[in-house]
Amino acid sequence: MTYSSVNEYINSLKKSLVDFPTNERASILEEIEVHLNEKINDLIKSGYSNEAAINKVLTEFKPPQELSEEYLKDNYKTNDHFQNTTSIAIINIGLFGLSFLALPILKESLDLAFIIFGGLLTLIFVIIVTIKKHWKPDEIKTVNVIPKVILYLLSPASMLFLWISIKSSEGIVMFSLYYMFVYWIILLLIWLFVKLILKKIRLQ
Amino acid sequence: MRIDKWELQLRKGIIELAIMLFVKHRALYGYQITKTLNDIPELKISEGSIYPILKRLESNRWLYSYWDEPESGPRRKYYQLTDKGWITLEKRLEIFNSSANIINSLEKGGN
Repeated sequence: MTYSSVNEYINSLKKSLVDFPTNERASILEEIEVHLNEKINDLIKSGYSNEAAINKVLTEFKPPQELSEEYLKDNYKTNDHFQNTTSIAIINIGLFGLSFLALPILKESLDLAFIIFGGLLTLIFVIIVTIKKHWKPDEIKTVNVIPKVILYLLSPASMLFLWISIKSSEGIVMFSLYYMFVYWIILLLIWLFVKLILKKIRLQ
Repeated sequence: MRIDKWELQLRKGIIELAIMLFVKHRALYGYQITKTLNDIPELKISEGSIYPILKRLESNRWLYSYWDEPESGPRRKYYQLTDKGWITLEKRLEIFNSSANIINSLEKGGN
């Protein structure tokens, strides 16, 4: 793909760097923009026409996708791999917790165990995500998926569980209804929490 | 032509060493460093590739960076070697030189 202006290139790079924290991304974009403009000016001084200079600089410069991959590879994928996977694991634990919270309806005898287990895992997730300061792009990506999982997996699954519960006890059991109601409130709160956290990370 | 992976990695390491040497005594900005590298055919680097490298060196605290605030014209981000960077550079140069010596003596011994 060829770009007709520095702005167009920078906008495309901005999209490629979407998983970077905002202040980091802004700094990268400003630095690259200054570089492109300076090179264009140098070429114009050496006799190039405005258009030819822009064309030459933007064709020779690394395409946005490749450049953002180099940023990722150089700065995140090779360093701190352990910390990276640990955080992602904790995020996944949170998701497990939310899933477990939906199960008591199926197995009444295990209700309490599931509630404690699921509640604890969800709590760990909330605490870690709240206090975590340095976010890596892969981690941001993982957190980004959570609202979708809530919307498209956990909510429909919980409705399915409610239906199974009604079917198996041949009628509406009040406990199931109440429990589902509380569960949906929790899902909604976690959904809001994750949205808020994502906003906070991106503003860092 | 198939690109030799060994050659690529060696080049990458040498370019990084060269960047650290450039900013050892004075602060430079990305465009300046790219121009200086491209003046040496062996160190030619594709446009833009320098920035992820600078970012990594900065993340490792081997370089520090600051934005200048000129009265006219755009501001630029300058990089200079830190004390930690000096130590790393010295160590790397030592490894580089002793490796070159070993290879040279092996080559001579093999003839």
